[in-house]
Amino acid sequence: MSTTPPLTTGAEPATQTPLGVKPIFEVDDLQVEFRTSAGVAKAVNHVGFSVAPGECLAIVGESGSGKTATLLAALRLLPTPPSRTTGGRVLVDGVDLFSLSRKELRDVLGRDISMVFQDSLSAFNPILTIGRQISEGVRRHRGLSKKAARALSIEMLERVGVPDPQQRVDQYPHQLSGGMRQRAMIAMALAGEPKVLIADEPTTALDVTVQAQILELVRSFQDLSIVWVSHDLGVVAGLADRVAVMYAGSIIEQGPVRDIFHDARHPYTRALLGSVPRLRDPERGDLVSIPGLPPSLVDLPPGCPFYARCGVREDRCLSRMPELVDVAPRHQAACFVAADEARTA
Amino acid sequence: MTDMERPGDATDPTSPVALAGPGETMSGAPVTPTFALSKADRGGGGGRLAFNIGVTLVLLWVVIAITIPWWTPFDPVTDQDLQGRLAGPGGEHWFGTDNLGRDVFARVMYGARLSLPIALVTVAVSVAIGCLIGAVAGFLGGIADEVIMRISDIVLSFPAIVLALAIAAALGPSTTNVVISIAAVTWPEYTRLMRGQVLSIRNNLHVLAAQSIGCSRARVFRVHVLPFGLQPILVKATVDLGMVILLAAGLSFIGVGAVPPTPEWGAMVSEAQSRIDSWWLGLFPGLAILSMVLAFNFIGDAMRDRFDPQMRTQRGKGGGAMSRILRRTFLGRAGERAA
Amino acid sequence: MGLVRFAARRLLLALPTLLGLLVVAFVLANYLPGDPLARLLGDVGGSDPVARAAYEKEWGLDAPIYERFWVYLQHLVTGDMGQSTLTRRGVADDLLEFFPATVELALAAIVVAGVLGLVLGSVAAFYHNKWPDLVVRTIALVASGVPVFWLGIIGLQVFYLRFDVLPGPEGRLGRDFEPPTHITGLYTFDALVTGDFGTMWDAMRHLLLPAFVLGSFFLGLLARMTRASMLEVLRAPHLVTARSKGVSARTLLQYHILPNALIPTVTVLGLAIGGLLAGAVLTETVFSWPGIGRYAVDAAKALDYQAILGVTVLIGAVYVITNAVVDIVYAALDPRIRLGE
Repeated sequence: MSTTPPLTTGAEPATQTPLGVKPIFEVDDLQVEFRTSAGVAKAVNHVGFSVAPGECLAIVGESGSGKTATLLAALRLLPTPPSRTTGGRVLVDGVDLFSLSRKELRDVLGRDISMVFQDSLSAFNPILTIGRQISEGVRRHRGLSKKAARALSIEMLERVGVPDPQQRVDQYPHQLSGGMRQRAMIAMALAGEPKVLIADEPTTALDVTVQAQILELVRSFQDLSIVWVSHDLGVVAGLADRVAVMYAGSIIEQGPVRDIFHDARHPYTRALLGSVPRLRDPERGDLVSIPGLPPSLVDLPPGCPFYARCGVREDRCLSRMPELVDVAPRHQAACFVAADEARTA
Repeated sequence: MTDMERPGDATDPTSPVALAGPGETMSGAPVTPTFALSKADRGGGGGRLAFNIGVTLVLLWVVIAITIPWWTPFDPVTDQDLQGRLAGPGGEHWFGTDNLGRDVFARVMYGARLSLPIALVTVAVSVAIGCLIGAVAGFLGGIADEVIMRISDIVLSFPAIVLALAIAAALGPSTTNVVISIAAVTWPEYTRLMRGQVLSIRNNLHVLAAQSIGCSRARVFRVHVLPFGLQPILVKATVDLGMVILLAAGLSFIGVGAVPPTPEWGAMVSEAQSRIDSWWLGLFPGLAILSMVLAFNFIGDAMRDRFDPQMRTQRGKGGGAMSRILRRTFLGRAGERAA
Repeated sequence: MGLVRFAARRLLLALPTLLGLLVVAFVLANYLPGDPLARLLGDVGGSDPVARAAYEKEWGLDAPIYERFWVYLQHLVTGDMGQSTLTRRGVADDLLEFFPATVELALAAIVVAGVLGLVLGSVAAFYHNKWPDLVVRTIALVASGVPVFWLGIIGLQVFYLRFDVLPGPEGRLGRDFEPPTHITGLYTFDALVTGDFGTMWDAMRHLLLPAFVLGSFFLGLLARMTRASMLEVLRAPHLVTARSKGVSARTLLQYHILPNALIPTVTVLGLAIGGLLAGAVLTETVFSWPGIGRYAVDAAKALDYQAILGVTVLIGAVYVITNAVVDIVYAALDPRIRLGE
């Protein structure tokens, strides 16, 4: 590719995790199904990834590609039914979440790992004050008194840059602006001092300037391991250390952020990057969409799910789903053609 | 049944580099943490089936009302048989006979000839008056709007049956007066509805566009406003057909509506009150009322689910199903102001 | 504070409505046909010009309607609602006597409808699409269309005639019981306070069927609403958030499910008060219940215009005021209403 990445990569992603460091958050071979009126939809298919301490992994993909389902299922937050986790393993700091009782699970959630959601208005309970909601998880984890919990809420609001935290702590979600509310939600997620933060498109609902502020805030948490779900490649480029690309419920490529943006191997990733509009490139002013539609998850083909829309497809792609294989150091793609290219290179 | 993620759902138009364009999402992948309620869960009767049952019942009653004189040998009023009075159901008299020996079956069936027209006329009158006033209020605005809305507020603050009772009593017991008294207490609901529709539609782009190219007020109203305002009104009117049947029967039961010997369902239940051991006297007319009310409810519910775009797209927002039932039940009375 | 201001504004808003209600009722009652004076003053007094003139003068009957309204208002302020031609007593005295019976019936109906409605609705939501859900939905459906007067008669036929477990339509107490000492006028309460448990039991037995019949519509409504709002809350995103924080199951239920699901339902419960007063018109007729509903019916049939006016004003006022109170309670429970969205 001749063009530079769409946005500057911000802070130097030099904090690349040394090989062999024990991951803090690990998802292994996760499979999730949904019962729908049309049949069983395979929303997550053999998804695996890991995050090292202090690392930021971005999961990107179109809406419906299974990003959110993967993470909610990993934390056992998906409603069952209609969903069902049919296989896999999720380790948080070595603890297998799927082997825990409900009660043990509650001890891990909010303390070791917590989550930030996309729509801050509906993610907050409308009839409880912000302060209460920030501290209620921690109150259980640490047995804090009401007073201490309130102090903690104020402190957390201050840390995420909410002005007048003393006042805000007693307000209700609808009284805060979208940006403030998103900050408050981050405060809520960080209140338990978790090791891993999962952020599910936390900036999608915000306007661009507020989005930039929130990103700045998240970048400032250097020790935190972050899984950042997004369909916004611009955000990902400036934030993540590594990127995993999902398509039709599977990870089809993952690797360091520079590799993904400069040296994408999977035809889907390449098409995605081609469809990102660039202000500085007059030749490619229009958003190029990928022709065709993703396959129905109810009726997934046995082969590569991208086959129907792929520019380099071959007959072998029809028979079996290609596995993720190394195409470069710490860079994997699930594509026969890309694998061959890597082997011959 | 889980609603699918709609195309473009998670696509944020403000995001400069959104991946998924409209139409690029995947069907069959309900992956958001919230799951929209299916129609049946929203308190509706169960969609298509309920609608079909409702329509079948109403059609059945219409056919009965029209054809009954040809297939029952008994006249509901004049065929009295004092020897065979208060006979239980069976034999010649399917629903038994009343205290004058009249055939209860014939009387119940003939009752449809009364209840259906009463309901239709009352609702028609109420809709016509209410909508006209509401449209005037919405279009004129200002003081006229204010006065009209205050008056309708006041009428709405009476419980319908109490006000209708007073009016019906004042006018004297008759079927016509039932129509008048019920229409007199139900019109403001349509006024509010119509005014709201006019106000919201008036500012729709297509109306502004029509005005900008110089369409006259009357034409804008007729062509661009009225058709859009009518849908919710049609839904409400359908449900109200059942409500009016209930209310009219109540008035007749009290004794300020249709008078004996008219075969009116409410009046028949009232007569049954003094012959409480003859259970068939009250049971059948009551079931007739129930079937009618439910039928119109079914149809109205199904229509609402079809028309109301808010209901169809409502996802995860508080108060969807709730406010619908509220709105529906209080029909613009107390519930609307609280919601 | 937000709530106080909200309450003040809401109550202030109710005032013009109350006045308008009075006007409408007054105008309406004034156009009742017939010669109320003749009926009021009896066969002798009706034709006695002196008595007629005296009465006409007191109530300004020869004056234009707006002056008569003014006279009525002045009387009303002092607690005088005029004479009933039917009972030949003061309307205010009549209402004072009959109102407690209706209040007792309506309260009992609210308890029945409230408890059963909330329980059935919750059960339906938790067993979503299983058989308890279907049963509850069917009950709620039928309840939304059933004529109360008919339900009352069917109830009597089953529980009084057939099984004889409940008393017949004989009012508030059996023949062998005397009303308890008047404290509130609610027999069950008064009997309980005075320790007259036999009377209390009898009063409750008489109350059960009418209360159930009167509450049936709201029972169905509440079951439907509770079910719908429960289902909505159970799928609400904020519940996922709460669970992601690892809060206890109890916190989840107590702070994130029940309040959110029940606030709207409780509100409807309040709104039911007005609806129940109206429903009392029919229910009281079936059960010979000596309340204002039956009084209204009798007065309407006898074209007793002061009495109709009095009843209409009373019920309308209760309606308007409960609506205002319900709005305020709703605001107290839900910050989105109180603090503006």
